[in-house]
Formats: sequence, structure tokens, C-alpha cells
Amino acid sequence: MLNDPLLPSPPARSSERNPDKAMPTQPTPRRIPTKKPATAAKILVTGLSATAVIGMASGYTLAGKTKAQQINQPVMSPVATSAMTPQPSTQVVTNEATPSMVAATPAPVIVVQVPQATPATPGTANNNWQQQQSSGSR
Amino acid sequence: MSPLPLTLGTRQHRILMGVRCEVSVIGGNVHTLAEEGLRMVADLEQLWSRFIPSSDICRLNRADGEPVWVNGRTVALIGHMIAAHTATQGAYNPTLLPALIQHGDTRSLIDDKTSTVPALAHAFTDISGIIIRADNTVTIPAHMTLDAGGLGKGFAADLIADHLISRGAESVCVNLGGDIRVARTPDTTHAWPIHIMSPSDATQSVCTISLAQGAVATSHTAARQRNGQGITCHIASPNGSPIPFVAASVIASTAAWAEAWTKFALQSNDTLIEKLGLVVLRIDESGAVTQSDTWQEFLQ
Repeated sequence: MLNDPLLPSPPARSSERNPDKAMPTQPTPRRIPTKKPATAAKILVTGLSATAVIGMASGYTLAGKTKAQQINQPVMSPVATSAMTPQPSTQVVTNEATPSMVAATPAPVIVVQVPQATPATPGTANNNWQQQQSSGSR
Repeated sequence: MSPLPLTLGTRQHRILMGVRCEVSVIGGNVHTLAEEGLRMVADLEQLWSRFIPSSDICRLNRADGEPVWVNGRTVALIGHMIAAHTATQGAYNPTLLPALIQHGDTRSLIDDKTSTVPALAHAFTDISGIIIRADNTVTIPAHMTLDAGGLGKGFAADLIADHLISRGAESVCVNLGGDIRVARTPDTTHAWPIHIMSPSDATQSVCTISLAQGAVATSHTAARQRNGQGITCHIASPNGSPIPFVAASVIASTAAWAEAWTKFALQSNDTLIEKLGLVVLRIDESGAVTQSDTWQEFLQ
């Protein structure tokens, strides 16, 4: 605290500005502080409180906006985005585009290429633990 | 280092996407890969569930004709929906959700989540109005809704199986509620035994096939009814005519295609499926089983 009365007085600044001036032979009378420590603390607390209130209000506002936007944001876990094979290759997966950001000039319309169904390959299975059951959505 | 014996494998399961999901892995770091596969199911459920409001599908369904940015996997799924609708001549239709909800199919069969659609939503016979752009924005016409349904499970199984092979597995089987995709590395001869279950008794097997590469999917008309919950029939024909079969299984290269063609097989005994080289088995209400000639090649 600069105004702490318990701290030693700072050197007289006047001598720095006027080095040619002779130093006083007697101690300079102690300067009476214009602000008391309690007053400074009150100002500081008031400032911090005001900052906190403004910050919290801004935070709540931003949180509300984010929540409102989440309904139109895609949900995808890191596993899904990193572990899967991209399908199809022409697509660009980005988490930056949202419906509200659809450009004025829309991207070109595409036709997703889907390979046609082809026959499967039969085999010879003989391991009991590997048995599976195909039924309608069980 | 010699390859691990093919008997060294693991199977892990979890209830996801409203069904029992099993991931079986042989070769590689089996436990890590199986867990990774199940995590992928959970992630894709977050994207495609009609019971999760933040999913891509739900956001599209309430967009009212506005463009919506979706994940790249959702773009690929919708591409499959369009291709399947075209190839099956409308027998597979991803826009039937309003009809399902109108019949009371509003609640998840495994928890208390509910599904809703906008008041004016209705089924479409023409889905050419779906617009997909290169920046992953998708626009579906106002009043149209999409339901990933069985095709979503099949496509998820395809993505996961391919991913696990790319991560070092020698042979994998991904079974999402009966939509099964198997895959293997070129240097293995492993195959998976698969029971085709009866639609009237879930504990009885109609037959057992052996699949080395590819997929099998089974649809039955009462799939959306379990333990007294759900609706008695979730299949609707495009022209409103009765469904002649109660269950159909199709073997194809991918689970997404197998699932889509089961919808066609349930509604018609047309030989279009066989002409494509695919394999089909149908069961009618009396329990009579009919199958394509090539089905025999897969019987164990």
C-alpha cells in the first residue's frame, strides 16, 4: 500500500527533478495522506463487486444464447468424429457451419453416390459361440 | 508373428437404438475393438434417433423446409434412403413416421422417450424434394419427416464392420437387432453361423445360414410390438394394399441394402430381388416359408 503510514516515507522527489538544488538540512515534515487505507479498500471492494456483477450478467447472457443455439447444433462425440470412416468422400465434415450460417450463395447440390447391392459370400461356419440371430428388430 | 487362432475372439453387447446390439470380433485387440464398435452404435444413435430431440433426424423433421446442417454420416444415410426408395420402387419409404405415430407408435420400446412430428407432417410417395448440398446442409420439404428405422441400423452395422476391419480385426460380425453385417480380411476364410428366427416364436429358428462376407436383415410386420407395447404392424404398402407376408429375410452385400430389400420382399413376391442376385426368404401368415433358389447356397 503506497499510503500505508507504517512504511518509510519515499525520498523527496523534488531533489530528483532539481538535482542542483541543495538538499534540505532538516527532515521534511511528514506528508499527511489524503486517503485513509479503509477508504481505499472500500473503493477496491466496490470496484471488484461491480466487475463481478457485470461479468456474471454477461456470462448468463452468453450461456442463454448458447443454450438456444444448441437445438440446431449437431451432436457428435469425439469417438464418432475420429473413429469412423468418412462417408462419402465428397463430403466435408466441419463443425463450424450451422443453419444460421448458411451462406447467401448456397453450396452446390450433390447426389450421394451409393454402391448398388451385390451378392454376399457364403461360407462354412462351425463355431457355436459365434452363432447370431437375425430377427426383426429385437 | 503368426496370426492368432480364429477362435480367439470376443462378443460384447448392449441395448442401443432400442434393440440388443452385439459386436463380435476375431483377431486384433478384440476387447478394445468390440467396445469401440458399441461406442460407435451409441454415437450414431445420437445422430439418427427419432427419440432424441437433438439428433440430426429430429432437427430435420422440425425444420419446416429450412436447410439444416447435419453430420457427414447423416448425409450418407439420407443418400442411402433415397437410393433405397428408388431401387425398391417405393417399397422402402423413409417418410412413414407420421403414419406410425398416428397408429400409436410414439414411445420407445426400451425407455420412456417419446417421438413426435409436426402437426401437418405426412408421408410422401415422392422424396425427390430432398436437397443435399456439398456443405452438408440438407433440406427436406415442409411437412416431410424422416425415420432412420431399420435402414439406419443396417447402415450403422456397415459403418462399424468396415471400421473394425480397418482397425485390425480379422473377422467381425455386427448384429444390431437382427440386422447383421459380417466382414473379414482377404486372407481369412472365417464365416459366421446365423439363425433366421421365426416371427411367431422368437426362440425358434427357421433355418441357419453361414455367411462369410455380406449381410442379412430380417423384417417382420410386428417388429414394433414387444411385451404388449408398440403397434401390431409397422409396415405400410405404398398403395395401401394388405401385406402378404409377415416376415422376410434378405442376404446382400451390405446390411443397409439387405434391410431396404426386406421391405420390398414383405410387400411383393416379385422376382426383382432375385434378378439382382440377392437372396430372399419369406414367411406368410400361415407360417409357410418360400425362398429363392440361391438361398440354398447359404444354408449351413
